[in-house]
Amino acid sequence: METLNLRREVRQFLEDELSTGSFRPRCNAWLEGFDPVFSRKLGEHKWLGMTWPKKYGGGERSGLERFTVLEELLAAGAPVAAHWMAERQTGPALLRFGSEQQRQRFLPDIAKGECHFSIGMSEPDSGSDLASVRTVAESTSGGWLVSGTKVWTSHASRTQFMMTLCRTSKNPDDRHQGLSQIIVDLRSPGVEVRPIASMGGSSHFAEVILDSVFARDEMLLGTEGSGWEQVNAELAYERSGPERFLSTFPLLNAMEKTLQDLEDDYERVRLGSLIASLWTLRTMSKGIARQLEIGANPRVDATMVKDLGTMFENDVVDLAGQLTSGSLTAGAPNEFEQFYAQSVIASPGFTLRGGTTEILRNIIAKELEQ
Amino acid sequence: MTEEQDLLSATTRDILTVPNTSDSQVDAMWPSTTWTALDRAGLTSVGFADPRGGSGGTLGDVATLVFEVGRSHSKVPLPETVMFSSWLSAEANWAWSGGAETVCIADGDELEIRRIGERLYLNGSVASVPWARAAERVTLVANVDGDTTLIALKPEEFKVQFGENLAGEPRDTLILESILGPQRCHRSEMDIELVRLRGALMRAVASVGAMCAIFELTSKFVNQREQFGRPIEKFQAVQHLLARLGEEVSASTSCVSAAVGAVERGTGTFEAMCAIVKASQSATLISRIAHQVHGAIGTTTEYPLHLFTRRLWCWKSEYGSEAMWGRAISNHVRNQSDDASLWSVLTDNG
Repeated sequence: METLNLRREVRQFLEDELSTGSFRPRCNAWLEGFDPVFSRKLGEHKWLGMTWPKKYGGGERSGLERFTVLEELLAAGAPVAAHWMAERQTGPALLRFGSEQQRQRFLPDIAKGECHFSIGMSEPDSGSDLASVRTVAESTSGGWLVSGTKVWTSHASRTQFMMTLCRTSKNPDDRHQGLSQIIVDLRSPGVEVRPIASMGGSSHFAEVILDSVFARDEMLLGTEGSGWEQVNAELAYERSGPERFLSTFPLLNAMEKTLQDLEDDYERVRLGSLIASLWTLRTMSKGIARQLEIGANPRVDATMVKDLGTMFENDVVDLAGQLTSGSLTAGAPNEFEQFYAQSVIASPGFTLRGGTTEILRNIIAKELEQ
Repeated sequence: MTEEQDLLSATTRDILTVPNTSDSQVDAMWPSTTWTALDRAGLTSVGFADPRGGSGGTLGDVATLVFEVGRSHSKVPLPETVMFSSWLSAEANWAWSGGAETVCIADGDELEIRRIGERLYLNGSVASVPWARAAERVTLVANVDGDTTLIALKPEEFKVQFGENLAGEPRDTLILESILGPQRCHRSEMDIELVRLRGALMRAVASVGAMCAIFELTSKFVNQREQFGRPIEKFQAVQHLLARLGEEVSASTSCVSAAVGAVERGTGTFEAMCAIVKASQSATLISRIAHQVHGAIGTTTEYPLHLFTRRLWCWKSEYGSEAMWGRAISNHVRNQSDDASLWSVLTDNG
């Protein structure tokens, strides 16, 4: 119950924000709700980088406390996309592999909600087969010259930095060992960002073309050639969080309210079954947060949560789809239909981002066989 | 699990894996060797309070035993004896009967219960009572004139018509006509639905045991069975089935164990309902996947898979259907006070 007061504080904050109209709840908000002003407010409340050391702007609070804040924000459909990747992924990576200088430079600003990162992994020819990336970084005086193309890089036109997975070895047999992670300043000369329009009308996706972009030596994360291990270490954080099953929570909540007045039995049975799945996922995800805190690396469990979680998100959309009648528009008059429209159009992405279902199941099967 | 529960689990496992738990009719009548061993180890009275002749223990301890019975497909009335023990001890202050017990909710039309002064008149039958044939005490839970009432029956007070479920487990019909004195009937404040909930949760616990066993069998099978010149685990289609199976086992394990913890802390109604529904969904998926992976051999009596899948199919409905519990979850959320939302129900207990 140590999180009870914190939960109340976050709920009060969200209620206040809603009443002043500072945001409109939406589904998939951790990817599509980009709002730097909102992120800064969370920073002011010390709700970003909560588990990090105080000397880097963190709060030295528990993983469970951070989990509480995350799930409250997600359940409310709050716009948390601006800081999401930096807080979830870049921060822990810097703490684990970064130099002292890098930590001091980036972590306090990430915790303030002012420094935003994109994740530069996928490329036009490297989707699930991440080790095939071709972006190269060539050593030059005082740093690196990075060239290549990254794609599906969310919000690259609005973030300052991109954690870039690239090849630092020219040996073609060095598939895994030749990879490194370099922080690229997206305002550097040679960077071109082209937004990619999604079918739902949003344009968080971007293509980032790097043409001999200079990054100083100290922008290399960890050690040269360790990019593959470093990227894999992030995965437990990336895959097990509550965003993997709460993307459609505003829709589920609206559906629950809608169904309260309905005596239709089938829908209420299905709703109960979805709630059971959600409670199960939350139990699993919290268990992983606890394990991460004691230094374990629950890779398989995290992968399972992502697969089960995204299936659940789609189940929510499916039931909502069965209940929807009439013309479907993004500007639907009631919340339920708005959330449904947002979710259904975003739903193909649920089981693609952060590792496709098929890749996840390969990983799970391999680990289970051992 | 606590250290004590680790020990409980190991002891139970040792006894239950002694190969006298076959599917034969003789053993199905009364597995006396196994029972005696369990009894000697003090396991048959876990959950009954110590001063009342039992071994004591929490619901978590009881769940440990029930899980092991599920994992070992033992045909023994241990779950029936202990799954309501802590509740009977606390609620009715009943001592352990000294033998196997069974509890059943008598809400069918076939049994007439009438109050005659301080006494109860019972006439009719109760179907599908687990292990009535072996019970030293059968506890009927019934609604008598609006009061939940626990009625304790001795073996000489009823006749038993043998029956079994699709998994070959004893599910007997009680036939009775008796008049019982007040000392045998206990009026309780407890809602009968909570008894059903406890029963369904304990069946979910046993199911998780069976799911773990199915997972072990299936992983071994895909590694040994060769087709097209290699073990079938090398095929991606099979790997993905195995991954789904592992996910369901993991999900049900997590939620059932969290629900048992919540019930033990006295807050677990919502959690238990969720765990029951999730375990029921998993039971269906796991049985389907495991049989698909095994091929025809999995459907035969000579291969042990059926010992677990048949139980999963039976256990998921014994204390109410998946649909009933799903509806109950929806109603639970709807019945909250006005300012409570679905989200607060989900997060109320931490």
